[in-house]
Amino acid sequence: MIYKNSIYKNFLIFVFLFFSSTYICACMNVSVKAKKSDKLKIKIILVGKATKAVREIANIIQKDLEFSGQFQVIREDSTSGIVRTKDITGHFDGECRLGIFLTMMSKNTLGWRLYDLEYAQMVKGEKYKIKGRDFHGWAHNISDLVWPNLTGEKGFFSTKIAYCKKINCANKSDYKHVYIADYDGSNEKLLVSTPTINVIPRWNNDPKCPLIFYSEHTNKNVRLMVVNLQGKRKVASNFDGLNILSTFSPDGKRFAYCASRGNGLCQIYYYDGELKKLTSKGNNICPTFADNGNTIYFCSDMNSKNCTRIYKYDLGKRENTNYIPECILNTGFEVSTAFCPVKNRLAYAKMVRGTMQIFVYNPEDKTHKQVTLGAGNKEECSWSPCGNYLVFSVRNGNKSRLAVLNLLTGVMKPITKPADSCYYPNWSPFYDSFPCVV
Amino acid sequence: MWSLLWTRLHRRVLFWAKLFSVAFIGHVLLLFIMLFVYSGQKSVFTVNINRSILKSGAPIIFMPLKRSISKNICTESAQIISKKPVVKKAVSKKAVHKNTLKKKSVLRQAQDEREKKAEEKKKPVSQKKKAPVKKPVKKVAKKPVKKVKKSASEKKFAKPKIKNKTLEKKNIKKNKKKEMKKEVKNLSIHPEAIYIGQQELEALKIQNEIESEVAKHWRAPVGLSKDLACTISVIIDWGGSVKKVTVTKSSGALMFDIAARTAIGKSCIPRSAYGKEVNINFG
Repeated sequence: MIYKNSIYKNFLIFVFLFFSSTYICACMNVSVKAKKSDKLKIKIILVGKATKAVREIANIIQKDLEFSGQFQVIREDSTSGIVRTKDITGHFDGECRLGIFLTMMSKNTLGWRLYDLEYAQMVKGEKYKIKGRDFHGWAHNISDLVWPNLTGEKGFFSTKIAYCKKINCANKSDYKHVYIADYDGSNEKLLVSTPTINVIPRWNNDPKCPLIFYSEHTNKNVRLMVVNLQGKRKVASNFDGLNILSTFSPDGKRFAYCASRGNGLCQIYYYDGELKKLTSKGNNICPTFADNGNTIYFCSDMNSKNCTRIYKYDLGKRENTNYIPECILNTGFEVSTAFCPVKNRLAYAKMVRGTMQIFVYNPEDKTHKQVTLGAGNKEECSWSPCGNYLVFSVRNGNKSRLAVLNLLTGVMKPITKPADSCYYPNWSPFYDSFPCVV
Repeated sequence: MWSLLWTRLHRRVLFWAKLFSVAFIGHVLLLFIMLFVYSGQKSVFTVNINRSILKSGAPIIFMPLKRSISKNICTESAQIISKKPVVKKAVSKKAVHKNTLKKKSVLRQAQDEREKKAEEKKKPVSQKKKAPVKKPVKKVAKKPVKKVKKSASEKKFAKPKIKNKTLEKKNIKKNKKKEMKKEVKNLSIHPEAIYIGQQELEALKIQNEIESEVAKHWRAPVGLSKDLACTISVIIDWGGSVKKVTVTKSSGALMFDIAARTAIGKSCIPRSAYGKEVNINFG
């Protein structure tokens, strides 16, 4: 009996000691907020024997990632290939945890793999089939494939910028030719080189067939022309006076442009199978589609002489003859409106203390934010298709350079040479194939 | 020799010796299990504290005799916690924070002053001989209604015309105690107060250390949305090295998660966090 009792007591004491013991591991939640931001380090590793083309592609991918201002790229070579986990973890150095492995798999196939170097885990990998001869295009396409895995956003590296460049001709008046280049100003190609002044190029919105609309000065008028990337040109609008500034709806089926028709006053015309005149008073320029193509923002001096203001035209009310467009900003001289459907923002240029600066308008909370500072007139802005960048011309005296503003980092980068005079930049939308001048 | 010693020992001593040995072996076994089998991975007890509530400025009351007040102390509202009987008990047993003790002493002083005043007033009343007990009782009975009833019931049982000084004193003392208790209760049921036990306090200290250490190295990638956030679970072994890092809730952007992991990799883990699992929310 005593024996049994003692066992029972022992058991009780043991249980007590067990639960009162201090061997406790706690699981805690800690929240940390970032006070600073920094570039992320990433490695581009060439696997095996790298040919000149692969090295060039790696260079372009490096430039793409560095252009964003979000990455610091480190280049490495791997002769052993990717066979064992050591081949991957060997590149991990404590700080750089991501690596892009590039391999030329066959004559027409390029392989890329994004690895977590610490755990040798593949995040994403694909075989890229080479199309065409432009390795710039291949590299930008690979960057576009890698980019969403890194940032969660769509890449913009395969897009192009169309612009006009002033050509100085001896004993003749200066011409302006239409060029297209990569988003960073590299890989510049001449598209229209007629011996006249060609201005204001605009991309269409058909993802399968990239076209550029531009205005060409003739002896009679300024006509609207259309050119494909093979260089074939056609007349789009040939009314008297000005035929300029075409813009396309997001679906690419409707467009609007400005024409004076010999009247002296520039009006906005809208085409949806039938051409209609939207405005009747004053000079109206820079139309841009918004709200999924249901609204047009434009600049006009209809209510104020020598001072343009931004107006909003609701296309649903165009049948109403008494409809008056709503003025959204009337503080000063505002021009060159451009709407970004991705971010739902309107960019425009406005005079601030004698200098044109770029502003961004948010239609949701109706706020205006100045995004550029400093000397030089910044005009003719255009959005990147991702909505994180703005391209515009910066004029200093007679010279004009194109610059790209990164709205995420606030960094402005010139993309054309200082000696060149470039105007009217326009960023292309996403096209199914990489737009190349043939 | 040992066998002889066992036989010569008293039965009671033998019993305690056995008991001790069993408990000792049990502890050793437990230690072995913890060290070798689990090696700090298993979380036996979880303490969740939402620091944002602690930063709200509400008074934090530390209860040293309590291990933990509530597992999710701050996710529940402070009022709910104050309603809990545990807190009230603790207060009644005078296991309250020093501040409350200070307040008690202040209350006592105030009560003494009141007493003195009451005695001063009593003197002329006792001289009149007509209503000796009424005045002090009435004064005290102003605030709580129950007390008035009690005093009335007491009146019934007590002989009405007897002027007993001891009864007066007793009444005063009782009222004093009741008032004291009520005041202390009012303190304990502070609507905004946050009560923490030993575990919570310890956890808060560790959290603070980890937070300050990780914050030194945490740099969000440039150009990403400020709304992005990810949660990373870190298991730290007893040697202080990071054993496992798991992204429990991804931000949706790989570069953000990677940057968060880099911050953990760079930071030196404080000693207090050894052998613990920490969920770090990066924002």
